[in-house]
Amino acid sequence: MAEIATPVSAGRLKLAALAPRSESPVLRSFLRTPSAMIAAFVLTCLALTALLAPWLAPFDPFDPANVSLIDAMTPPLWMRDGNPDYLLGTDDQGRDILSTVMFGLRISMTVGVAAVVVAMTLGVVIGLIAGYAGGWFESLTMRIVDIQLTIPSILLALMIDGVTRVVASRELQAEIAIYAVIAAIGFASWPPFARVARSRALVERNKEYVQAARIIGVAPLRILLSHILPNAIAPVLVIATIDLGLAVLAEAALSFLGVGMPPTQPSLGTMIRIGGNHLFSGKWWIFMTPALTLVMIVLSVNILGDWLRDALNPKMRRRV
Amino acid sequence: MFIATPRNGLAPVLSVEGLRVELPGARGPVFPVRDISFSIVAGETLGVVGESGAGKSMTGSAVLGLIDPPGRVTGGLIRLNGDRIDNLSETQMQAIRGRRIGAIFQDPMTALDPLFTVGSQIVETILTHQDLDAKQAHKKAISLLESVGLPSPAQRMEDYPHQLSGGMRQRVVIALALCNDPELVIADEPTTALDVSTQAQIISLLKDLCEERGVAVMLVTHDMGVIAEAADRVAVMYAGRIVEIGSVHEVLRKPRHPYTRGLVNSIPRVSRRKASLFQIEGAMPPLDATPSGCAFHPRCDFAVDACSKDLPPLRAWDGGASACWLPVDESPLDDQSLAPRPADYESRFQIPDAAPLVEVDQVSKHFGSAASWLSRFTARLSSGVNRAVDDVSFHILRGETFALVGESGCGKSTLARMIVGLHPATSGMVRFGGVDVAGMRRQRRFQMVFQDPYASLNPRWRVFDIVAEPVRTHGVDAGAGVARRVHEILEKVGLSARDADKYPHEFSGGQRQRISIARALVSEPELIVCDEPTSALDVSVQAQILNLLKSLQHEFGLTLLFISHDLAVVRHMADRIAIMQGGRIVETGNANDIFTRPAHSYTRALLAAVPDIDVAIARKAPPDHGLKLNRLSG
Repeated sequence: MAEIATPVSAGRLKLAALAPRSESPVLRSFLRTPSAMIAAFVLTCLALTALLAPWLAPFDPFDPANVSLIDAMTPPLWMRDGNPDYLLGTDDQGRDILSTVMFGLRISMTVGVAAVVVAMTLGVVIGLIAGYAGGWFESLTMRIVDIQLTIPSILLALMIDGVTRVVASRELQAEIAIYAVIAAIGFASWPPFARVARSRALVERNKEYVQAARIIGVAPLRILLSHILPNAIAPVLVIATIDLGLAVLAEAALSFLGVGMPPTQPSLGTMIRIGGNHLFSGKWWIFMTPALTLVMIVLSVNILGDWLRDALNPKMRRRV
Repeated sequence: MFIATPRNGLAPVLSVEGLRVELPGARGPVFPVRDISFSIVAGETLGVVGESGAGKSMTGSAVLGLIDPPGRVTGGLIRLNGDRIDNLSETQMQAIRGRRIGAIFQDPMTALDPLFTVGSQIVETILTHQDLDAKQAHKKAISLLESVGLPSPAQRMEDYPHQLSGGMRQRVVIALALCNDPELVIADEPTTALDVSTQAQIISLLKDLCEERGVAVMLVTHDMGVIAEAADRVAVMYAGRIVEIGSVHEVLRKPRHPYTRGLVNSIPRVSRRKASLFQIEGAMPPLDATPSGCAFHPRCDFAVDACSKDLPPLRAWDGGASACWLPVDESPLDDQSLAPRPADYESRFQIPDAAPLVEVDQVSKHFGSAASWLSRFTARLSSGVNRAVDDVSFHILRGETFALVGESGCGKSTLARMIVGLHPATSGMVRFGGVDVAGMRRQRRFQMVFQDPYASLNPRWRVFDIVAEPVRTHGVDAGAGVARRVHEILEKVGLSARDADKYPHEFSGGQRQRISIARALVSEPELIVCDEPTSALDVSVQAQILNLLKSLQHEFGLTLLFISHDLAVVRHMADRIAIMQGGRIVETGNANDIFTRPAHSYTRALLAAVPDIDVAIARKAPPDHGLKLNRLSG
């Protein structure tokens, strides 16, 4: 037992020693949670891949010169008929899957992060004002939240997306597709942010430090921004992390349904849809690579979100 | 090792020898309880007293076998009527808890299950441990409820906990603790959550019942008043050790240990008013930084070299024992050395100006009348308007300390918040220097110090920014001037300029309250409203803060509105007093008159309920069951 236990605990000690003792308990908890560290590592790799796709990818999948239909449906390298040029094979149009997934990752993550930023900004602003000011604004916005929460968000996103498609001209559609998807997902997922921000604002506004600021005569906007927001942000960040996974999934779902990103700018969802068409004819690789990538993003984001929720929970921190 | 056992030769019900509790800490294990030994005989009440962090509750939990992992008992023997109980399994302990040891905790609401009637909870506890049928158990439960003084006990059996008041609930908890005729009862702060008037009843009830039934009681509390009223012997704890143990009469009348002496003298009394309270500097050390030798030596005025090197053993004197290197008999702790150190303000202080600074004119606050349309609608259905403050008028003179006194829920805090303009009044008017407070925005003439030192400072701001906020908001000063003001005021409240760069969580409760006071003072206000500023603090820290407030008031010519439920604190601070009950002021007058000649029956009842140490000690007969110290092997 002791022989097995020692290296593990020694490793932990070393990692824990990396953090200065006065550092935040969140960082200390991070260095003591291997699952969170692995998830963060995977997510960082994926994000770097997405960011550096134009330099890392062996081919530019959007350049027609790189696409030859002769190479279409090449299986991955390790299978019979594999081509060393295409590590993970090609799709039905002869595009290199590895490169397409790298670029698809870029689009999926951009959409996910941007949608969460939209939802968070909207939700936090509305929620904080509602919680702090109360009155008719609170009643109105919180009823809207209640109503919106009864509608499945993917349905709502479909609706918002559909409306923009009807409004925009055909040429414009491809150009604004990404913004439409971001807006659709962002506007469909602000209610949880508003709810949490409001409940935090309600708690904080009755705390004595806020009362002290009010007696001093600090302006309400300043109280909201410098007193309440910093103290209300922790649970919002937890939701944002978990919501990032949901947003990436929502984008994939929209694209899978054919209303998200067009095949000319394939996201992971678009590629899964295309791959799905060939799944039962034994061409599994077109489907599998983007699907596994999606699973990796969502899984690591969720593990991180889970850890963050525990780490920011004061009840978990009560240890001496 | 010395073990104190009562002289009358009775075998102790509970005997604890060398108890040690260990908790894992960030930098190695810490010891909240270190080598504690004591014993209690049948019918006797041992008070365990100390400030927060002294290890007193942990000692109670250890006896009950309720130390939460990862904490654990790592040393010592615990015997209950001769049987070792410290090495029992959890299952074996369960058979002892509730049967042989009863427990009473601070909050009666959490001790009772809200989903079951109080009767069924007592019956179930009886049936679990005794060989009785349901009918007999029911009968026994009724007689128990009767003995704890619940009116019409048969009907109360059917009540749910929320239908009872706090005092009645605590009576039920006492009945629950006694229902299996235990040998020992452990009461952890049994009256802390209760109002003054119920506190006294519960203490005497507990004491009488246990004495009558021959139950040994371990009474854990921070309140010397409760000890003086209820305990036969007292053990004073500091930093995990017993520093003094002996009969209440001896220890409180003539404490031998410097810590006990400081503690007893730092308690404000209802019966007499001193210019300032004795104060012990500093605070209890944190668990992971207990000083070497005698843990009290850094705060002790009499410390000698030996104090910082070697741990003083408990040494016996007639009627008790104390752990101090100073010779017990020729102790230098005479009353001279305990004279208050800050100058005597009382003689110099006079109310300089009879002009009223604050006029409260027929002010009322009704909740449930001006809320949203939805709650207005539901409120109309239930016709419930809560008159939190009901037609209250008084005035505060410039330079005086005016106290609002009342029990929880009497409306004193709501009234205070209306005076500083945080709540609008439903009717009536508050005038400050002749101006309606409701119309005052961005004012700096009054400030507030709050009760909870943990909630009153923004946890994400540095102390500098917290204290500087009023200066910046009002543009009193800018640039280097802000820093100068902040540093100056921090030093005025007993902190250092270096503290400005820290965050609130790096400070103790008393230090945070100093920061709060600094923030209130920095904009040079005329009035400071103090809402229970010391009720969350330990006695020795309370004395520091009260002395600080008094000296600052004198220095800056402040007017104070002091809100408190603690009559002794009010006695110490106030020039004039208003007594509140149910949203109304029942009596207003000079502090002296109110304390010596209370006119209203409610005021008299409040005053009678305050446990007064001096009176309680005087009432206690000289010790007839003193202590003999036996040297035990090992």
